[in-house]
Amino acid sequence: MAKFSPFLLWIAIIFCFASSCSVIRVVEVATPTSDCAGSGQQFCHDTIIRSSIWKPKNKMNVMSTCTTGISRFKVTTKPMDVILGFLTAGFVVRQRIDWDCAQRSGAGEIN
Amino acid sequence: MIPPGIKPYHPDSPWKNCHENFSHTFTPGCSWILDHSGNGLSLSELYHRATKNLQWVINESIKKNVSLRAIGSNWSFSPVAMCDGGMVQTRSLDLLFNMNPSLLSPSYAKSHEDLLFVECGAQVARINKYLEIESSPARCIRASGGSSGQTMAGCISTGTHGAALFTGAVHDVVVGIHLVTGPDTHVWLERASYPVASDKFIDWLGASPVRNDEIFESALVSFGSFGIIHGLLIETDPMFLLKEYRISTAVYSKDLMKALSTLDFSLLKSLIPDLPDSLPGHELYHMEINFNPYTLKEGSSEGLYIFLFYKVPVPTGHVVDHSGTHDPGPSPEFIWMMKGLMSLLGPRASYNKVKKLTTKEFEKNIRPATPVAKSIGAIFRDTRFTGNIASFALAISTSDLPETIKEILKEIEKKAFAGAVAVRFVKGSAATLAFTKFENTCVVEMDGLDTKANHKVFGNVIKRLESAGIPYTIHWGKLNTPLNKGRTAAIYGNERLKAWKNSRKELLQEDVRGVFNNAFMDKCGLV
Repeated sequence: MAKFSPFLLWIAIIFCFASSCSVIRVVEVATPTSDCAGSGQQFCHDTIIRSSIWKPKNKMNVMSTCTTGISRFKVTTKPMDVILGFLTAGFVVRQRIDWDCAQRSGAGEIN
Repeated sequence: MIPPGIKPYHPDSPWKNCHENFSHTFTPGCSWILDHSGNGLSLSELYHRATKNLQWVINESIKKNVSLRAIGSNWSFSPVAMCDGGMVQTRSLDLLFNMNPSLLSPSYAKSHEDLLFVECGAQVARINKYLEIESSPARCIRASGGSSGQTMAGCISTGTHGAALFTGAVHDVVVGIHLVTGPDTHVWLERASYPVASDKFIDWLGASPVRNDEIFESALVSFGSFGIIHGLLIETDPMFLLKEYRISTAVYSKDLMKALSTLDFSLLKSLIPDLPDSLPGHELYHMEINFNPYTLKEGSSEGLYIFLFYKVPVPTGHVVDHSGTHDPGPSPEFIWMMKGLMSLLGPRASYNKVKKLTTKEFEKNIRPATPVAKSIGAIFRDTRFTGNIASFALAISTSDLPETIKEILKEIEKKAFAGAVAVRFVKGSAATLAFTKFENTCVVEMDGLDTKANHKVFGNVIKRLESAGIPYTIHWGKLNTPLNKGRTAAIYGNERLKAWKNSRKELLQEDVRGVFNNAFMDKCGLV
C-alpha cells in the first residue's frame, strides 16, 4: 500500500475542507412553493447566523418564522467565513441561511 | 397607517425576473407585500381582508401617482407584467376554497365538485398538491404549462398553454374572476353565457356582479392590466393519469405534415404504425413535436420526435407522488443542452460549431418516455432555469404548420440558432387576446441561448411568416421583442383590440387604468 506523504495529506485535508465548506448546499423539494417572489432566484428570507462550536446550546429555529413550513433552505459558508472560523479556533462561525416558506395546505369552506 | 396584512416591500434594484433573463427597476417606496398573517381570523375573513388590502395598495398608487402591478411568481420572460412604479407581491395570498351547491348558479350544469376557488397567489404546485393528494376523491387541473411554479393568476394572465390539444390553455378552465378594480370597487366577473356563481357566493365576496362575455374574455388574458385578480374559479376534472409515448420513427414528409396540420389521426396512424390508438380509457390528451432544425430532412426521421400523453384511469391503490428527482419533463426547454452549450460556445462561434454542438446536445438530452403513467402534478413540475436562456414562442393555425416549419428551417439554414424547436398542439381559446387564438393552434417554441444571434433569428422568423402571409401570434409571457403597435393590431385586428380596451374602460376608472398601464402596453398600442 502506497504511503501518503504528510504534505499530500495536508493538501487533501485543506482541499476537502475548503471545498466542502465553501459550496452552497441546497435542500430543495421537487415542487417547491413559496410565500413570495425574490429577485431572480433569490430566496425570500435570509439571516446571518454567528455561533461558536464551543457553545453548549447552538440552535436557531428558522421554522418559527414560517407558519406553513419551509419549502427551500440554503446554507452558504463563504471562504472568508471558513478562514474566520480557523483563526478564531471555532469561536466565531458565520453562515448565511436563506429559506422560503411553503404555501399552506388544504382548502377552506365557504359558509 | 398600514393595515394588518400589508408590509412595505423593497425590491432589489435592479430586480430580476425568475429566469434572470432581464432586469427591471421599480420606484422606491411604492411596493408592498401582502400576506395572511394574523391570529384569530377565519380563512374567509383573511380573504376579505386581502381584498380590502388590495384596494388599499391601489389607492396608495393613485395617491402617489405611480403605476402598480401584482407579482406572483415573477415567471414571465418578458417585462409584460413590469411597471415603473411599484409591485404588490401576492404569493402569500394562497387560499383555496371548495364550493358547495348553494354557491352555484341554478343555471350551472355541473357539480360543485367540479370547481375550486383559487386565490391569486396560489402556485400551480400548491393546487396540484391539494387536488391530487389532499382531496378525496382526488381531482386534477385540466391543463398545465410545462411547470408548476407559476401562480394560477400569472398563468392565465399571460396565456400559459401546455399542449392539451382537445382541452385548451390554462386560462380556458377559468369560469369566474374576482377582480379588484379600484380603491372602492371589486367585481365578480363571469360569462353571461356560462353563469356559475350564485348571489350567495357573490355576496360572500362582497363584490358587484358583472356577467358579460366580452368583458370576461377580455379580462382573461390581460397581463395584470385589468386591476388585480384576487380570485379565480376554475373547473377541475376527476383525477386521471397521463401515459406517455415517444415516437422517434416518424418520417418528416408531406404526408406527415398533412396529417398533423389537419389533425388526421387515421392518416397519422397509417404513417406511424407505432402510434397508440386513442380509445375510451386511453384518450389522446397532449401532443408535441420536438425537432432538431439542423437534421430535420424530408424523407428522414432523424432529429424528429413526437411526444404524446394519453389520459388513463387511476388504478386502484395508485399513490400520487410529486417528489423525486427532477426529470426534464415534457417541456422542450432543453435546459441541460443549454447549460452544456453555454460553457462551450464562444462569442464568435461559427455556424458549423453551433450546428454540431446543438445536434450533439439535442440527441443527448432528448428524453425517453416516462414508463409509468403519472398525474399532471407529478409530470409538470418545477422547471426553473436561469440566465442565458432565451425562450420564444409563436402560435399559428395548425393548418399552417407545414409552411411555418419550412420557413423556420430556411431561416436556420442561413443563420445559426443555438437551440431546438418544439411544436405544441393546443385547442384554440375564445379569450380576446389569447395568443392561442386559432381554432386549432400550434405553438412553435424556440428555446435556446440568450444571444443576440438567437434574438435575430426570432425576429427574422416573424418577418418570414409575414412575407409568406402566414397569420401568427406571439406568446405574451415569453420573449416578445418583435411585438409592437402595428403588429399587435395586425395580429388581433382592430375590432378585438377595441373590444379589449372598451372592456378595460368598463371595469376601471381612468385613474385606476393609469395605475395599471405599463411600457409594454404602450409599445403594443394597448393603452
